[in-house]
Amino acid sequence: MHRNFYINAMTGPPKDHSTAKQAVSPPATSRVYVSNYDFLQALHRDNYRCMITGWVNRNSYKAMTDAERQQFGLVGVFQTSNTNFCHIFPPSTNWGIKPEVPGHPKVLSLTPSFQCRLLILFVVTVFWVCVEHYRGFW
Amino acid sequence: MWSIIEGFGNIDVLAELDGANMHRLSNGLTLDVNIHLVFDDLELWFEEVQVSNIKRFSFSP
Repeated sequence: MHRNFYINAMTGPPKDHSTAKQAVSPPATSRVYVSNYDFLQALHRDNYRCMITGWVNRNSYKAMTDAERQQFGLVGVFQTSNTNFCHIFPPSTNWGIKPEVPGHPKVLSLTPSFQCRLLILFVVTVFWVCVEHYRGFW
Repeated sequence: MWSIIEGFGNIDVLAELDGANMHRLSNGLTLDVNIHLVFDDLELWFEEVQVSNIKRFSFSP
């Protein structure tokens, strides 16, 4: 069944997590969650091609009928590849920002893993400073 | 962060990119997986051109 079917059949983006989870997009290298609806909409708008290379999305092309390939101009010789929905501004732009909280700083909060890395960096730095300082005494 | 984005493209982050709007169609484009990685590594970027509302891509040398 062709992806256009889903584009036409769906009335909008998933409204809740369970619906969204069922429609998760397949690209393996995509680093963030993008619903299938968003991915298909972007593919359709971009004529099923990478906007830089012009290469055609392989899965879409394989799923199309000859009539659909004609409709979207996917005839002749061209390169195919795997394509992603690429965010221009990444989702991390808004992570950790709580505008509903008065006075909340407009900066990104640090994740626990990043805090842990900072702590390790601090400990290692202090260690080497001590080593350099007491080198003459040893 | 917000000031940079607002200065870059007159984009109000909260109004236009909040929550599910982050995945809106106008905030994304279809890219080959390898080009996507290059874009994520900031070796590929948009540049403003004179035509209104148009940005062009540039690669690092």
